[in-house]
Amino acid sequence: MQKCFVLDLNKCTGCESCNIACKNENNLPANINWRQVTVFNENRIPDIPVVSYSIACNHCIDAPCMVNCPALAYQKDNETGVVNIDKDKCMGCNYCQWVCPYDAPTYNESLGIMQKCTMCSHRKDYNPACVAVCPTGALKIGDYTRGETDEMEGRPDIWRENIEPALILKPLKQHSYTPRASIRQDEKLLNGFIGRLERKPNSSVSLKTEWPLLMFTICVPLLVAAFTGFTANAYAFSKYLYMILGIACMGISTIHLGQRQRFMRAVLNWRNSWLSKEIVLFSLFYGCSSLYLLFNLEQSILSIIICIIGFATLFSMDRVYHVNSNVSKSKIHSAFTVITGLYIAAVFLYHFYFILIIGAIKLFFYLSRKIVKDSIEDFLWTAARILSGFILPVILLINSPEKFKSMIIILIIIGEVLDRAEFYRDLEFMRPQTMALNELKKMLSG
Amino acid sequence: MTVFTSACPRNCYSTCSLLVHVENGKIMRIDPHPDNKATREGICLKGQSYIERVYSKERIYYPLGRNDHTKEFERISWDEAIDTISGKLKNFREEFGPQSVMFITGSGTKGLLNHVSTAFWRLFGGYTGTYGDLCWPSGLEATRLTLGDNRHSAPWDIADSKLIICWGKNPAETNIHQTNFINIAKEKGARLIVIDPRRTPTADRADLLVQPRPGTDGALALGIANLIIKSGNINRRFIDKYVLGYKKFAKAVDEYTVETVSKMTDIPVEYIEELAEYIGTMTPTTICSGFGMQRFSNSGQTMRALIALLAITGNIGKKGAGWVYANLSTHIFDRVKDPIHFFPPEKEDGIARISVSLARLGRDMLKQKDPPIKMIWVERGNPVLQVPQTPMVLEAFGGVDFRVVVDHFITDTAKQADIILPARSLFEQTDILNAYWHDYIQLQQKIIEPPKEVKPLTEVYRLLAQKLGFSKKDIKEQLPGQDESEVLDYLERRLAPFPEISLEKLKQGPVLSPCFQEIAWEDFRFKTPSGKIELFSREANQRWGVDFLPGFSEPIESVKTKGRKEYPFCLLTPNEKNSIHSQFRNLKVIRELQPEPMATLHPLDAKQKMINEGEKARIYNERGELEIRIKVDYSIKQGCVVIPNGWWFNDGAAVNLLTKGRETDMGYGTAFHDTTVQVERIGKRAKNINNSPRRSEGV
Repeated sequence: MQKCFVLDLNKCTGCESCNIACKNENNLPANINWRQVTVFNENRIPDIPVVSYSIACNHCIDAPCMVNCPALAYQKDNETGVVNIDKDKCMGCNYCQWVCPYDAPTYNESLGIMQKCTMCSHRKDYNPACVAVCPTGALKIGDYTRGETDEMEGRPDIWRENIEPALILKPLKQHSYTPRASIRQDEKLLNGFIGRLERKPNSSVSLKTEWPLLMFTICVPLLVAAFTGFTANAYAFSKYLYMILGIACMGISTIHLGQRQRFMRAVLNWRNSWLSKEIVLFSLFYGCSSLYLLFNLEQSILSIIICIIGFATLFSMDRVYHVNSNVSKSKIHSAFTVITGLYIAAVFLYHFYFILIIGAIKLFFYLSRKIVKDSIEDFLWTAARILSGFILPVILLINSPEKFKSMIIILIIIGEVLDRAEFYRDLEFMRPQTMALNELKKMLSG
Repeated sequence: MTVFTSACPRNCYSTCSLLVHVENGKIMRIDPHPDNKATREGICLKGQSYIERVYSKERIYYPLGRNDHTKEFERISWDEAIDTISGKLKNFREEFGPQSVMFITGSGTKGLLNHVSTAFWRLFGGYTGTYGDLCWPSGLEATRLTLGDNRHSAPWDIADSKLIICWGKNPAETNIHQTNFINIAKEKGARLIVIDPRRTPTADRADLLVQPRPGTDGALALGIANLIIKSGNINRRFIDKYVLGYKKFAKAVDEYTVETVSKMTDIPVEYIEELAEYIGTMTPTTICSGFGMQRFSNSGQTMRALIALLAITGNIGKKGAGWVYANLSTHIFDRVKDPIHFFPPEKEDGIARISVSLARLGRDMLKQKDPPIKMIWVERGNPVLQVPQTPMVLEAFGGVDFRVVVDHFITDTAKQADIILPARSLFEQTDILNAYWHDYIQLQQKIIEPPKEVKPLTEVYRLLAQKLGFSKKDIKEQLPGQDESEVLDYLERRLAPFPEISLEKLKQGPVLSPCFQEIAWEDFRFKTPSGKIELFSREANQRWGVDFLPGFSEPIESVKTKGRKEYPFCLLTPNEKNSIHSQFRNLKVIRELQPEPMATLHPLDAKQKMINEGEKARIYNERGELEIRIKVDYSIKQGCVVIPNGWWFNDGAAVNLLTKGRETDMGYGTAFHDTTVQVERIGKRAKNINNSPRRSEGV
């Protein structure tokens, strides 16, 4: 049996009593909410319904938190279908918060672990606090049967087929849809207004908090590129620096964990979680490449295999960001670590055309992103990125190939850091608010 | 966990029955009480936030005195507080007479024990008090004049309506439990019409939303009445039997042609016609009217016009029909009921000098002579914020020698005090509550001990009385202290005339008032002079100087007022779900949801004023100004600015800096909404104000 929340959209007024009842019941600290109310069409654009919906964890059938948790800290209760976090297994990496489109998992700073709605399992009779206090009876607990929620008319499209949230939204009825209003609105103004709704919803990632990840995702491609260089004997890079950098990477990657002593758990979900794959592959790559360098093995087949493992690490590193985010498979970001790895590797190999081709590809993706976006928000930043990452290296390369090798590498790395910083700045995960805004835009344009 | 029956004492329609769960002396959970048929579904977020409110670090737990040098508040002992206050009281009484002490209360908390305060001040020898009310008197008076008294059918009766009109009421935010009964009616096919300048959450679920220019609802009602009469959709039999003055009324509304009314109200003709068609042909019809609409200087007459619509269509005294404004069926303990209770006495009794109009608090206080006001005592209220024309209130407060404020938190009023006394919470003393929407008498139970040095107000009065040497007999009879048995004894005496209600029963759950009427006026006995529904009211004319019949005139201050072209926006200051006036605004859990105030402006107005969403603007008139962030929003009609009331000074949106101390046309109410303002962007003009869409994906 799968228990689920049932929300009658005709009744929910967005009063947010559920939110506070949940905070009281579960003793949540300030600014942590397991249940939140999203308002669709908050600015009350005429002839479009305003819908308030209260969302907590939907205890999804294919819960992305559970699928993607590298530490296998999530379980689904056999009897009730409730998705729970084992507080002794969670290492507090925050990845589940990224991948959940309902913003359900929250990070408890004092405990260093993730927490979320438990459907108040500690209370009897399936009577969670939010349901017990709902003043309009809009929120209830029910039994979820698969395939019941396929009719989307009259409710916000927050359904995600691939994860199947166990949530029953009772759609707006005809008589509650939206009022006929005595004021006619100016069409032209309306169109203009919609454009300005492009507010960035609260994103759970920002450069401020993710700097260790930024460093990690720059250093790993650097290592992979360096090793590629080593195998071709192209560039002398101190082995010891290589190894120190590798250890530093491992260290950095655990900095943001709430429970650092549990870092070993990160590999447990290697079958399903790209994060686990990334860690496993990186460990494998780093271990093998270090041994290879230490013992000067100089076996070309072995080195090629290690290189492949290296680029596989980078590939899985990029895939980590694909789940539930605005980084889509179809759009290639110039700061993808695979491309970064190739670019730096080209420099290490010091192959003129290889550098030019990868550089041009990168520049193309970079510029196309800038042009698609409505404006170049920070001109200096963009200029610095293009100058240091592309123009200066190419000038130096053409003028005096050998002399400026180190400088070219440094310039390119600076450019990559700037690009990767943009990646984190632009990175946005799907949230109920984002979904509401996207749907509103769709409704208005359609 | 132990579970106690209790009830919420806030100034709110719902007055919920609560089940309070306690563990180790701490309040853990607040659930709805299933025996209150009106509120049994759930408890709102404010009710949930009590858990923070009661245990908040910012709560006042000790008497605070103002340090003479630093001017900061410091903890003082109860002995010092009582000595100082009683010393001042004695001095002022001797030197200037007891009426030099002014006693001000607000609607901060309900309860029978509130009567103890008045008893104290009378025993003290007298005081200066206020008449009138900030909230609802002109609607109450309009109802009293027309229907005889203030009541309405049981809250659930609306579920049997065919047509529900929320006229200036937004139950989704201010009376959330009423929406449950509206939903039931809608399930059965009823229509919901909302008449409101705002598209409120209530309007979001309505069939029809009609948005008049604020302050013109009276004209709209008269125009609808005219159309109904012309179309013959009146209930002739009902009128003949129960309505006084129909003919005169029909003649008087003749001038309110649909075209004239359309111009006055800014509503297209076809919508007025549609409203008339609905009201004229559908029955049973219920009109739920809120309090905001009767905070205009013309509002008593407006409310009379609204009731007239129900009278001429026979929608009173029958299931699913009626006027839902205020239900005073539980006000059984009052000698004089509202609104008469708000009127200044016709003859002073020599003890209480009720000479200050609450609407004009600041100005009237400054005007008091023989004796002038020397000391102010404020309890259950935050007049500095919530009374119109704040600057004048501050001036009056500044002009007296000594101020005592009793409160939970250091409010803007408390900040003016010389001594602040801590107030008990709803869980710390037993009291009996009435309501004004449902019909239940309820017990607010003592569940926990007052924390730290908090003393119930009754105990404070008891201590002062002892210090001032009141007689033992008076103290014993009229001033119960903090001892629970004394309080229960006091309450029991108040319950004595009503054998059907006992403390024992109340401990189990809410009890229906002996005056409960499932369907109000089903006996068609109206307590008016004529015994009929009085469209024509002599008393209206004699007491208030308005026309005998309901009528319409522009509010004294509106966008049409001559000489106010500089202030072309109507300012509306409604209540919203997150607060009861200025209460709850300071709590963290509420702040998370709403960190700062916003003023709502229509996109066309914003465009004209070149203000973008989220930018700060200056909202001002000749009385004051605010700097506040703007929310650009289609919910509001053009030409209006909406700022919910109750934000504190520090939040930058104390709306009463802009309002004027002005009474309504009847009932001594307060015309908050007779306020027009100007809006201006702050700082440089933004580069890109045009409203063309930004080029971006997907739009």
